[in-house]
Amino acid sequence: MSEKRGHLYLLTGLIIGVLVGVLLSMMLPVQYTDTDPSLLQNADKDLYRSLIASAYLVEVDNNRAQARLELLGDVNPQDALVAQAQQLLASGGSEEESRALALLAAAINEGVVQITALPNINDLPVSPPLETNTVNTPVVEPTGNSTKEPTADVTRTPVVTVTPRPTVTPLPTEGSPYELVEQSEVCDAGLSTPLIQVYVFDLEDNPVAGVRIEISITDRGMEVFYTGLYPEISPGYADYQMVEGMIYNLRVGTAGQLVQNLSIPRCETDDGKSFPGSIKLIFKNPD
Amino acid sequence: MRISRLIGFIIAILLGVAGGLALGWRYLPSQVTTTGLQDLRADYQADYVLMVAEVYAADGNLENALTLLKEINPENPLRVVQEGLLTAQQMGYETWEMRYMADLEIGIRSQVGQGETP
Repeated sequence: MSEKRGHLYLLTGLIIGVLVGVLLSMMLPVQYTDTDPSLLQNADKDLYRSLIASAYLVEVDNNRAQARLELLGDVNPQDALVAQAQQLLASGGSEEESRALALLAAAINEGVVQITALPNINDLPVSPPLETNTVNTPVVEPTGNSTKEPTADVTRTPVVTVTPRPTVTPLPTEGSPYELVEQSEVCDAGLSTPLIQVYVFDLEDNPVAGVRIEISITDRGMEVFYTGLYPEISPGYADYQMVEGMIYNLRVGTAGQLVQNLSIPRCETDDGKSFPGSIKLIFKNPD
Repeated sequence: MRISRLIGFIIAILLGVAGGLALGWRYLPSQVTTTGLQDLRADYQADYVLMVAEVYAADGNLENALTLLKEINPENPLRVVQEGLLTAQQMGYETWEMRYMADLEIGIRSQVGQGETP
């Protein structure tokens, strides 16, 4: 009788084993060696991403920065950059770091962003070439304990990429004397929170990312944020959430015009209901 | 016969567990990971060192550079740079990239020369 049962028990055992194995793999921490950045733990990914952004300010090589970001395996690198920049600002982290992240996010959004590279303090007589090297994005086999040679399947081919420059995004010059060219109230009942919406443009009306904006409240100190954190709206856009009863002063750039006494405007719906509005400020660099 | 079936069953389970672990670690790697920068492959570590060197070249902040390098080797950040230089050489990095990295190495060495432990 038992001879006729066949070998289904083997299949049953195998299925049970696979289920147990998958469950175990999800519970047991795994440590990869000789791996790629996409498998880093989140804290290290943040650090790596931040370093990519900082290095971008030195190299100003969009292709390379993008190739490096792709290594992290983010579904949307731009969103990851923006989220990290916002998180940094919210937690009182480094302003420079968040600015670098915002600029890189804007660079990805625009495709090509031209910024001035940070100078080398050692005055090296060399500079990153215009014809950029692109780090190949290696195909990664995340094996648990790989013993293969570290560089076996990775080649660093210096690819000459002719970067198209259809649009030129202006330089985010912190010291530029941005002037207020338009101030208006925004009565949009769809906006859930009252905002100060800031748009920064250059002389040719191109939005400028990475511009420092200072906002101060009397006796309550100052906060800093940057344009470029919402590239889906505009690379030159930034906003700040207002609180009822507060009066704000705002400056764009370090030498920009101070806009004073900003507070939540009152708006009315068609049926006469009052709701808090927002303020829209447009700044331009006249130089 | 029963014993042989039992043994077969157990072997099937063990094979299944091994396969399940491999599947899970291969396709669900981000669920739980403790992989750090020190686990990066040598070529990625070299690129990391290059980025640190570039930032150092711009801001001259050796402390910051050391902090970043210690993420790979807390005991000996200088070694991280040296290994990065070797890998960079093998992979044909550009001269200006090698110089950035070499400058970082010199910076760390000079600190060692002043009696400070990097």
